[in-house]
Amino acid sequence: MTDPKPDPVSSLSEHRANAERDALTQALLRTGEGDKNAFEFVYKQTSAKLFGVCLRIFPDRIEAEEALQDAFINIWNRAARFEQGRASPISWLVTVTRNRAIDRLRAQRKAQYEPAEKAAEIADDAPLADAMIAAENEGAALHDCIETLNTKDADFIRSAFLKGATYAQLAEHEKLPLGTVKSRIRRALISLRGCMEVRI
Amino acid sequence: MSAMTEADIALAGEYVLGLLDNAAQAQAEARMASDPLFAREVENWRNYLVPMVMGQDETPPAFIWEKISGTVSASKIEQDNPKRPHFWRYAGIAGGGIAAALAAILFLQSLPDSVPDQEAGEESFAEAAAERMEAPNEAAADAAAAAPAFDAVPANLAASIVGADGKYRLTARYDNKAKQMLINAQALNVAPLYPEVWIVPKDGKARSLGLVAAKGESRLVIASDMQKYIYEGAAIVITPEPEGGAPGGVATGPAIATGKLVQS
Repeated sequence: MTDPKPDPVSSLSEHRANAERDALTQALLRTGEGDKNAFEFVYKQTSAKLFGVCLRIFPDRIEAEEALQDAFINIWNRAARFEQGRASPISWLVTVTRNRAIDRLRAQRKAQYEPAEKAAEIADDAPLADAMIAAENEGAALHDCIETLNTKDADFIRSAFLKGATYAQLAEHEKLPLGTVKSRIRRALISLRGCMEVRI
Repeated sequence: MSAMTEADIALAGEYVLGLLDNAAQAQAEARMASDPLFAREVENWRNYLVPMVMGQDETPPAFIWEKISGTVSASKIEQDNPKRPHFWRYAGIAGGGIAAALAAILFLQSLPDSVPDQEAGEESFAEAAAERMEAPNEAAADAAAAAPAFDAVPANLAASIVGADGKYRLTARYDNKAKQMLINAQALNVAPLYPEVWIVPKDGKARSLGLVAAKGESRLVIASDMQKYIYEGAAIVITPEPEGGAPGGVATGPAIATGKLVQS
């Protein structure tokens, strides 16, 4: 996450968020040592959030449930690789869940590919837990910053992250040369990064 | 280490979005291991993009935890079981020497199948397998035969997994009841990368089972959709991969050790 900035107004909720994050970090480290109770704590703390991630990638509930099971088995197997201080625990958990779900999606889809457009709009109406202050700020910032991009470029970025689209699939779908798609996305990323840096 | 240029920033973003091809991905990961600023840039991108994939929080049905818990619980029971020292020596002798060569043949056969998928990872497997065909593996076979037993319940399947020059040695045992693969690494140091275990069933396609410790015992809980690939004759392969495992489930590193599952 971002470097903590002292802010008297939000310091109380920040304090709580930090305490919850520390508890999750410790539980994840113990899960890596094979502690099942710690793993259950991680599940209780994060399964609703990670189920939300799976439902975003698989709107079909049954598929999302299977993806969630897969994700947690992967989390159990990989928890020993989580490094304290290197990554935020929630970002790590969401990344593992997203990557596993995208693997599933790519395996099912093979040649078929649907771009992420309207359906994949950032859920700005989705209330995030109080504890996720930093993520909430970043969610709002990401939403606003993506809005500043060209609509097509924004769709490219969403399609890659939410649908596992490759450059080749994007180029084919848009009937654009591969090089054009690549340079457009790279320019969009630099501009997105600049916007995020100012906002966070 | 160097200051981040616009190209670096875009590269880190492409990496997190999963847009890089395998070669570029492997290069990016090598750089993450050696360039803390670049690693930090990747972490920034992860944090920036994570909210995009966050949906509405929703409590999953209770049976989900019961299923997950049931799958991972088996590892607890196993730790209490007595030693079984003898089976492995037999399995090692039966499976060690010829396993690597058989695995190599499997890979070579798999090459035509892998072409339509455009998966560069499978090519690197095939290339590694081709190299292995020419490499002397007697030393490796000896090392495998001498591999010590390790503690647990009797497995239904076992494999001795060795590198071409005996540099990498490990053993695998699959407990069919607990649906767990127990990996015991005797020599598997691939730092700064991490050893990842793959199962290669008869179709010749590699599927990840997860990352394991470079030394000592690791338990991999096998997901329900992977259990069908674990049978006698399937090959187990190790590749060095970046932190967190091969991105997109496709190997980026070469096959450094191979072995075949045999009845134990």
